[in-house]
Amino acid sequence: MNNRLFPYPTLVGRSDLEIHEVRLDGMPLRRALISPGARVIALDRADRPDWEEVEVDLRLHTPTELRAGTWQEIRCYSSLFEGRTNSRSITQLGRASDDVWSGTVRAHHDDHHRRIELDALITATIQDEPGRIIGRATEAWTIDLEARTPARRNTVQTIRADFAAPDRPFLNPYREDPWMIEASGEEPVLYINTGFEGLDRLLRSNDRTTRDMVGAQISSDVWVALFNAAAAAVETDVDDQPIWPGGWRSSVLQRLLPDLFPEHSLDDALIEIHARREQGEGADLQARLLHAAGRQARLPKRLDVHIRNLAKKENS
Amino acid sequence: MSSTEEFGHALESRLHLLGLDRAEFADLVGVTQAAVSSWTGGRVKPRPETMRRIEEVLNRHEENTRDTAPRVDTDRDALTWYHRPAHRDGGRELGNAAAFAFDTDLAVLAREATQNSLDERFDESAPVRIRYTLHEITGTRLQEFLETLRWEEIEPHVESAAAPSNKVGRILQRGLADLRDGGRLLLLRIDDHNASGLTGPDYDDGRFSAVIRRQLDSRKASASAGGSYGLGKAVLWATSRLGLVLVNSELSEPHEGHRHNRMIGRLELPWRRTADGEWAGPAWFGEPDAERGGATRSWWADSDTARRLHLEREEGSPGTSFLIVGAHDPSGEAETLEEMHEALVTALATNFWASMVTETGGVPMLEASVTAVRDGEVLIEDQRVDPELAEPEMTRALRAYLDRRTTEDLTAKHDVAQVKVPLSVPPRKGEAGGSVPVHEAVLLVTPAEDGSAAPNRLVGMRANRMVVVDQKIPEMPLGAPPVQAVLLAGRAAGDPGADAAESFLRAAEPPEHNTWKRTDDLTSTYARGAASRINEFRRAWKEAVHRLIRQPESGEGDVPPALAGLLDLDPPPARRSPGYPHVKHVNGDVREDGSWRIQVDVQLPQRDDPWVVEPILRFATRSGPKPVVAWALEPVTNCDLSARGALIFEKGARRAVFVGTSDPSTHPVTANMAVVEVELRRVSEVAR
Amino acid sequence: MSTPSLPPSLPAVIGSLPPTEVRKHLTAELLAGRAYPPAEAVDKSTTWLGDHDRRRTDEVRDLVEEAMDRYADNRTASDAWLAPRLHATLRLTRREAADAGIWAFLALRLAPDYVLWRFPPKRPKSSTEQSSEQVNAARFDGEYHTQAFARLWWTAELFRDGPDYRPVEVCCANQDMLGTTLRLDIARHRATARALVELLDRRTVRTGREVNALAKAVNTAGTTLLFEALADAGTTDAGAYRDWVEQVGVQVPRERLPEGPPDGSVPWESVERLLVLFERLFKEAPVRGKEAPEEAED
Repeated sequence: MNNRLFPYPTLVGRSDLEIHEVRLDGMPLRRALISPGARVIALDRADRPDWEEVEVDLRLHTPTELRAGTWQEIRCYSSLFEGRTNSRSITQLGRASDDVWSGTVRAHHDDHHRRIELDALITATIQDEPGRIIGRATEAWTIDLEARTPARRNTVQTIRADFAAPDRPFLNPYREDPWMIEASGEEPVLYINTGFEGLDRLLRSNDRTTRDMVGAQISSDVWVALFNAAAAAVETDVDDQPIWPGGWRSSVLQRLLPDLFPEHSLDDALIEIHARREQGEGADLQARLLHAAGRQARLPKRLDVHIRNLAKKENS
Repeated sequence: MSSTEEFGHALESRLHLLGLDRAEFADLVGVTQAAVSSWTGGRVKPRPETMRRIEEVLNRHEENTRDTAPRVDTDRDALTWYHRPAHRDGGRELGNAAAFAFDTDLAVLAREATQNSLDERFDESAPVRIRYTLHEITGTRLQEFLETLRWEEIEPHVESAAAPSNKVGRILQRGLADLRDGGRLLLLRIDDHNASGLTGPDYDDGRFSAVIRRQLDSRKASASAGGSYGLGKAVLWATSRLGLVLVNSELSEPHEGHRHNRMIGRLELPWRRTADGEWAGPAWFGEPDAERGGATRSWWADSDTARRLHLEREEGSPGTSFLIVGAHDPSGEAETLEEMHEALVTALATNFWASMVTETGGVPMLEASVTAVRDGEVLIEDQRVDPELAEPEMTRALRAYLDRRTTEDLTAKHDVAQVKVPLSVPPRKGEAGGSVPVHEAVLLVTPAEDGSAAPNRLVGMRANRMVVVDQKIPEMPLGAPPVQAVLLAGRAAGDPGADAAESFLRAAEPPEHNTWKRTDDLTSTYARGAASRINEFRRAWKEAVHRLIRQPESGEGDVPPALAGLLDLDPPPARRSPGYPHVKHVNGDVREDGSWRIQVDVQLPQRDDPWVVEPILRFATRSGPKPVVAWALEPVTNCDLSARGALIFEKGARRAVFVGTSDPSTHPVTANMAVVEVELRRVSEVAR
Repeated sequence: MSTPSLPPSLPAVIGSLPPTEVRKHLTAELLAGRAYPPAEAVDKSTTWLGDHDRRRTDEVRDLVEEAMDRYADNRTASDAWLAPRLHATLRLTRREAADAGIWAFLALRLAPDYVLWRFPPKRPKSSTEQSSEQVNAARFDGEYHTQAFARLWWTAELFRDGPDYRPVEVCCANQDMLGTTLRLDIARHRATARALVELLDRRTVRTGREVNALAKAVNTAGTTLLFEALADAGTTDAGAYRDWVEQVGVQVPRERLPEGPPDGSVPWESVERLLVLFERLFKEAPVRGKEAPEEAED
C-alpha cells in the first residue's frame, strides 16, 4: 500500500545493511549469533552478563541511483534506537567505495533494556536545505540483549510452572487452574500449570488430535485475553481519536481486527472497537471476538478433526 | 620390476651409451665402484642428493659427448602402422573395455589428464603447466596432417570397424562422416610442462608402456598419485571419434640417450576384418622394430614432422603432449567449439581450483589454460583459469590456510576457521598390530556470501588438491548462517600420518575419483573395518562443521507442540485485496502557493451498495498523532461528492480516482517540510 | 474525603513490582483516594533492588514530602522543583529506569499520597453518567510520560544539559511543554530538547497554544529532516554517568539547583542551528493552534 508522499524525490532502490563484525567489550561475537536472514544479533552471553559496551562494524550498500541522481551532499548514518529507554543516537558512515558506506556504532549496556533497533538513514541537501531524508535501509536489524539465538521472537512466551510454588506468588491464587494468561505487563505470557496433573504430558503427547484440540482451546483463550487487554489500553488523543497502543498490544489488535471487522480498514476498526467500548455495547463485540480468536487458534479445523477421529473410533 | 631395478637398468644403459665404465663413473660421482655396482645391479637406489649428483655428471658427460653420439631422427618415410592381428582362438574385443568403465565427458577427460599431469610433476619448485588446445583444421593443413599420419593405411580399418550395430561402431561412423563429408577435423591437444614425460622403455615397465601399451596398468611414481586404476588413459581414446591419439614427449630422463620429441600414435579399434586379414584391437604408429617382428615402437621425430602432426614442443621443458584426433564430447553435451572450450574451462576450474591456489606470493602447483583455434587463427584467447573466479569463498579459505591466517572460531564476516578432523587409518592386511596413526585432516570453514548460489558445500581433497568429495553438508540446522567448507586430507594436511592417510584415501576412491567409500581396492588392501573408518571420517567432519556454526540452545520457554504456530505475534501479511476501500497509489506535488495537489488511486472491493468514505489527508510525524489538514476534493473517475463532502464511489466499481488540494492555512508546517499521508475513513451510512 | 493513612513502616530499599501485582492493587478504592494498597501484600511480591546504599527509600520519601509541603498551594509548580531533585536522589541508569515496576513501587508503596495529591481524583472525561471521581490509573501504572514519578525522572533525564538541570525547570514550568513534548520522539535528541526549551525561555513561544504549534511543526518536519544529523548532540560519557549513579552519600540541596551527571553538554552551535531552524518552522507554520489564524494579535 503506497499512501505516502515526500515533497522531494527520494530513493526508490534497495539499501542493504550488512553486519561485518560485532564485539562485546572488544571480544568478537561468534558468527552463529548473527543472523542475516532474520536480521537479528543475539547478545545474551551467559558467560559475560556484565558487558559494558557493544560495537557493531557495519556496511550500508546503497543503490546505484544514489550516484546517478542529482542529490547534493549525500550523507549516510546508522541509527540505534530503543523506545523503552528513550535512547536514540546516530553515527555518520564513511564512504568505503562507490556504493558502500561503512562505520562502527557503539551502544552502552546502561542505556538499553532489551531490544535495540539498528537502522540506517540517507540524507542529502535539497534546495539548500541540508539533512533532508531521502532513504533508509530497506530492512532494519534488531540487537536483542536477551536472546540466546538470533531469531525473531515474535510469539507469545510460554512458561511451564507449578502454580502452587512459592517462587511465583502471583500464580498461587490460580493453582487449581490448568493455565493462566498474563496480559498486563511489557510482554504477554502464557503460563501452563505443571501442577495440573497430566496437562503437560497431554500437550506433548503423540495423540495429535487430542493434543491439538486442547492446544486450540488454550490458544483461543490467550487471544481473547490479549485482545481484551489490548483494547482496554487504547487511549485517545486530544482530538478524541483512538491511538494505537504500543508493542504487543498493537500486534494483537492487528492480527484480530481483520477477523472482527472484515470490511473495515485497521484504523477504522480501531475506532469501531473504541466506540463500542465507550458506549457499553460489549455483547456483539464479544461474539465477534470469539470468532476471531477461534480462527487464530485454528479451533474450527482442529475441532473438526477431533470429531471425525472420535467418529472413527466409535465405528471401529 | 621394482623402481630400484628399473633405475639400475636405466643407469646401466646410459653408461653404456655414453661409453663410461663403472670405475670412471664412480670417480666422477665420488663414490666407490661397489656402490655403482649395487645401483646398476638393481639392489640399491641412491639417496636424493646422490641422485642429483649422478644426474649432473651424466648430463655434463652427455653434453661433452653430444658430437660423438649425434642424435638420429627417424626418417619420416620409415613410419608405418602396425595392427595387432586377431586372436588365433577367434576371440574378439568389440571395444576398449576400459573406455566404458565409466561414463566419460570432457569434464572427466580434464580431470583424468590434469590429475595425471599433477602426479607426474617434475620440478617441485615450479608449477605444472597444462594447456588444452582445441584446433579445428581443414584444407591443406588437414591434408598434410593426414598424409604424415599415413591415414590411407588405417582408413580401411576404421571403415571396417564403423558399423551401426554397436556403440563404438556408431561413434566411428560419425567420426568418418565428419572427416569425409565435412572436410574438417577437430584436434584436442593436451600439453603439460614440468612433468616427467613418457619415460622408460617401449615395451617393458615404465611410464611409456603403461600409457601406450598396457591397458589397466597403473604405474605411477608415488603412492599419492591420483589414479589408482590406470583407467584414466582410456578416457583419452574415448574422446576421439576415430579412437586415435598421437603422443609427443619431452623426457625428464633420457631414453636411449635422447629426450626430445619421442613420438608414437595409438589407434583403439574393436575387432575388424579388412582385405588383409583380421585384426583385434589396437594399432601403433611409429618406427618398425625389427626385433619384434615389425611391431612399431616410438620414434625420435624431427621438428618438421612434429609440426605437421601438430605436436611440436620446445626443447628442454619435460612433459607430454597428447593429440586427440577427431575430438568430441562423448556425452554429447558440448557440440560446438565454444561449448567444448567452456566445458573444459569449467571442468578445470571446478576440479582443480585448489591446485591453483598458493600462499600469497607463492608458486602454485598447477597452472591451466584452455584455448580454441581454427586453422591457425585464435578463436578464444589462451586465458589462465582463475581459481578465484570459480570458487571465490573456498579460494579465500585455502589461501588463508596457506598464509597461516586462520582463526579458531568464526566471528568476523571474512573469517576462515580451521579445525582438526581425525581419521584413524587401519593397518594393511597382513601387517601386524603396530600403532595405527591417527591422521588429523584440516577442515576450513568460512561464511558464504549472501546470495551465494550453492551454500553449505564441503569439498574434500588429497595431496594433488583435486576435488574428490563435493557434497552438501548434511543436516544443517534451519536458520544457521550458510558456510563453505574445504577439507584437506592426507598429504594436503600434513603429518601426523599424512602418508598412511594418503594411501588409504586413494584406495577408497572409485575409478571416477569422486568420493571416498568402500571399494574393492580398499577391502583387498586393508584390514577388516576399513570401510567403517571412512564412515567415521564422514561423521567427524560433519560434526566439526556443526560445532563451528552451533547456536546455543533455546531456554525454558519453548513452545509445546500443541501450541506451535498458534501464538504468533507477527503482523499478518497485508491482504492485496482487502474487504474495504483503500489507497492503491498516490501521486502529487507541492505547488507554488504551498498547497499539496494529490491524485489518489483507490481500489474498491466488490459490493452491491456504493462505498462512502471520507478521505483524510494527514501530515506524518516522527511519533504521536498525525495532524489532519483540510483539503478540497475533486472526483475524477467513478466517484462523486456527497452533500456533506464525503466521497461516494460508484456502485460496483473496482477502481476510482480523485484529486485533492490541501488548504495551506491548515498545515502545521509548510508543505515542503513534511511527509503527507492519505487515508480513507469509513463514514457511517446512517446520517450523522 | 478523609485521607487514608500510610503504612507506618517503610521498607528500607526500593523495589520493583511485577505487572500482575500492579494491576491487582489498582482498585477502585485506590483510584477514588479512599484506601492505599496493603503494605504487606505489596512487600511480599516485590523484588528488592540490590546495592542498598544507593536505593534508600527514606531519601526519596523525604524529598516527596518536602515537595508536597512547599507547594501545597500550587501543586503543578512542584514539578519543576521535584523533577531535578528526584533525578539526583534516585540515581538510575536508563536501563534501570526502563523497569516499569520501580515506578509502580514508588507510586503504590512508597508515596501513593503524592500521586493523589498531585493528580487529585476527578470525573473522567468521556463518562456519560454520574460516575465517581477517580485518579487516572495511568498515574500509577502508565507509560513513562504519564506515570507520576516516571514523568518527572524522564523529563529530568531528557531535558538536562549535562549536569545543568535548568532547562528541566523551564520545561516543567510550562505544563504544555511538559505534557506534549515529553512523549514525542523528538525529545530524545538532546539538542532538540534543549532548543525547544530555549525557545520557551526566550519567550518565542509563550502560550499553550503556541507550544503545541511548535511541537507539531517540529514533529512533522522531523519526517523529512534528520535533526540528529543537522545538530550533533555530542557524545555522552557513559562512564561518567555510571560514576555519578554509583556515588553515595551525596546531599541533594533543597534551595539551590542540584548538579546533574557530568557526562557532556550539548554543543551550543548545535542548539543554535536548531533554534534558527525551529524558529523558522514555527513562524512559517500556517496553523498556530486551534483557533483560526485570522485572530488578531494578542
